[in-house]
Amino acid sequence: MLALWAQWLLLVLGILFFPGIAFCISLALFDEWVDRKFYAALQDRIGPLHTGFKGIAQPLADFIKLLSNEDIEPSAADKWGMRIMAIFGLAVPLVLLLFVPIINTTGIISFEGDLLLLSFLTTLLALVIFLAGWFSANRLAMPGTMRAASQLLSFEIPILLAMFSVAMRTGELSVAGIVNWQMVHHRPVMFSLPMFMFLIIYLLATQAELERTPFDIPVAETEIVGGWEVEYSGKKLAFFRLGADLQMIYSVGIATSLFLGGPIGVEMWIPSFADWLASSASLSNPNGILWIAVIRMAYYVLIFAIKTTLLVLALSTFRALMARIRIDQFLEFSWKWLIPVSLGLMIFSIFWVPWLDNTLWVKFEGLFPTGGGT
Amino acid sequence: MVLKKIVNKIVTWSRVKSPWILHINTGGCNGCDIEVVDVLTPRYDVERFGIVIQGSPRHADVLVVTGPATQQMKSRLKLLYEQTPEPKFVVAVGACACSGGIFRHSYIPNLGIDTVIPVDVYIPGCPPKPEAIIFGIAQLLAKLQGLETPVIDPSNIDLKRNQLEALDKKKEVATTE
Repeated sequence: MLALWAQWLLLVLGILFFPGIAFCISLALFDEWVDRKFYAALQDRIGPLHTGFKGIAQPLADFIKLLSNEDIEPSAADKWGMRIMAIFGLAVPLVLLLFVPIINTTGIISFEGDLLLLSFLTTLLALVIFLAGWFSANRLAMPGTMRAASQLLSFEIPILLAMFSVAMRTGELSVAGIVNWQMVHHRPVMFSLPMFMFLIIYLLATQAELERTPFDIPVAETEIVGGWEVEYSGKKLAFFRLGADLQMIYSVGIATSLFLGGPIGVEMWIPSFADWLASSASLSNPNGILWIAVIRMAYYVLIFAIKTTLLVLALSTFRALMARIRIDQFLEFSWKWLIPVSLGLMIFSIFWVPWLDNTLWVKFEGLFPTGGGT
Repeated sequence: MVLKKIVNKIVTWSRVKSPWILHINTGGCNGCDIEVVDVLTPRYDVERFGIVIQGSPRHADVLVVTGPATQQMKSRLKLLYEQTPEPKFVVAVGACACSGGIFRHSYIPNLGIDTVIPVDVYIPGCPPKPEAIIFGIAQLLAKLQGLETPVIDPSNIDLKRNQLEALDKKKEVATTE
C-alpha cells in the first residue's frame, strides 16, 4: 500500500491534471472543434480552418479572446449574483466530470449511490441557468430564462428515468458498479432489450439540456438574440461557454458509461487481454506491473475519447438535420410523448426483462466467446 | 515584462483568430445585407477564419454596419456601439455606410455611419462583392496585428466636396470671362 500522503497527492494531481480539470477542458475544447467541423461538413461548408492544424485551436482562441474582453455589468443587474452564477456555470460541470470513469473503471470520486448525487447536481445546473438569466435583469433575457427553466426542468425527467432504469436493470446504484456489471456480463447495457430505446431517449433529452438545435428555444438566435446569456460578456460568457462544452462532455460521458460500457473496450470479449490489463499496478494492487498500468490508462482514455466523440457526432448530426421547434410543440413532445414512453419502457423493463434475460439471452450465449447470461 | 509580452502576443493571436461579428442595418436597401449573408453562408464560409455571427452586441467584437445611418437609427447605432465590450471595431460595408451613397443628397442628410461612431475599415461598393467584404475584414485583422494597411484620407474622395469645388471653379471661370 502507498503511504497516505502519496495517495492524497495522487488524488489532488488527478483532480487538477490528468483525468480531472485540465484533461476534461482539453477534451471539451477538442469535441467542440469536432462538433463545429462536422456540423460545417454537413452544411457543405469547411468550418474553422486557419487556427492551428485544420482549425483545431479555434475553441481555445475563442475562449482566450472572451477572457481578454471587457466585462460589462449593467447597473440594474445583481452584480454578485452574475459573478457567482458564472463561476457555478463552470464549476458544476467540472464537479460532475469527476464522477465519470475515464482512466479507470471508477471515476476519481466514486461511492455507492453516486447516481443519486449526479441526478441532483444536473438539476442544479438548470437552476444556475435560470438564476443567471434572472440576475442579469434584462427584459430581453427574461423570455429566454423562462423558456430555459421550463425546458430544462421538463427534460430532467426523461434523463433521470433513463439513468435509473439502467440502475434497475443492473441492480447497481453507482456509475462504477454499472461499468463493472457490463464487464462481468460481457455486454454493454445498450444490448439489453429496451435499453437501446433509453439511450435514444437520453440523447434526445441531452440535446434539450444542452440547448442545441432543434431544442435551442431558450437561446434562439433569430428571435430572442442570445436568450438568457444576452447580457453576459467577456469572462462570464467565456465561463458559460466552456461550462456548456464541459456539460456536453459530461452528458455523453455518462451515456458512455451507463450504456456503452464506459472506458472498457474489446477486453470485454477477450478474457486474456482483460487478465493482462488487470495485472497492472494500482492502488488496490500495488504488486502489479507499472508499465502495464500506463498502457492500461492510455488505452482506457483512448476508448473513452472515441466513444464520447462518436456520441458527440451523433448529437451534431441531429443538430444539423433538424429545424427549431416551437416552445409549445416542445413541451408537448416532452410531456405527452417522451415521458410516457420512457415510463412505459421502465415498467416493461421491470417486469419483462428478467424473463427475456432468462429465455432469449441464453439462446444467444454462444455469440460471444466468453458467453453471456446473468 | 517578458511574461506580459507573451500574454499580449497570445491575446492578439486569439483576437485575430476569432472576430465575432454583429450585423446592423441602419436603413439601407438590403443589397449589402444580402452580400454579408453570402459571406457567412456556405459559398464564402468565413467560419474558416473563425468569424461567427452573434445575436447580441455583448458577445460581438466587430460591428458590420450597412446603410446610411438614418435619423431614426442614429441613436440606436450609438447605443449598440456602446453596448459592445472593448476592444470593438467597426466595419462600414457599402457606399451608404461609407459616405451616405445615394441617400447623401436627400432632403435629410445621411452622411454615413462615421458621423455617429468611429469607423475602422471602409468597404466601398454598391453593394460590395463578398470578396471585397472578406478583404476588408482581412485588412482589419492586419491592422490588429500591427501590419501596414492602406489608409485613405476620406476628404480626398469626398464626392460632394469635389463637386462643389468643380462648381466653384466653373463660377470663377464664368466670372473671369
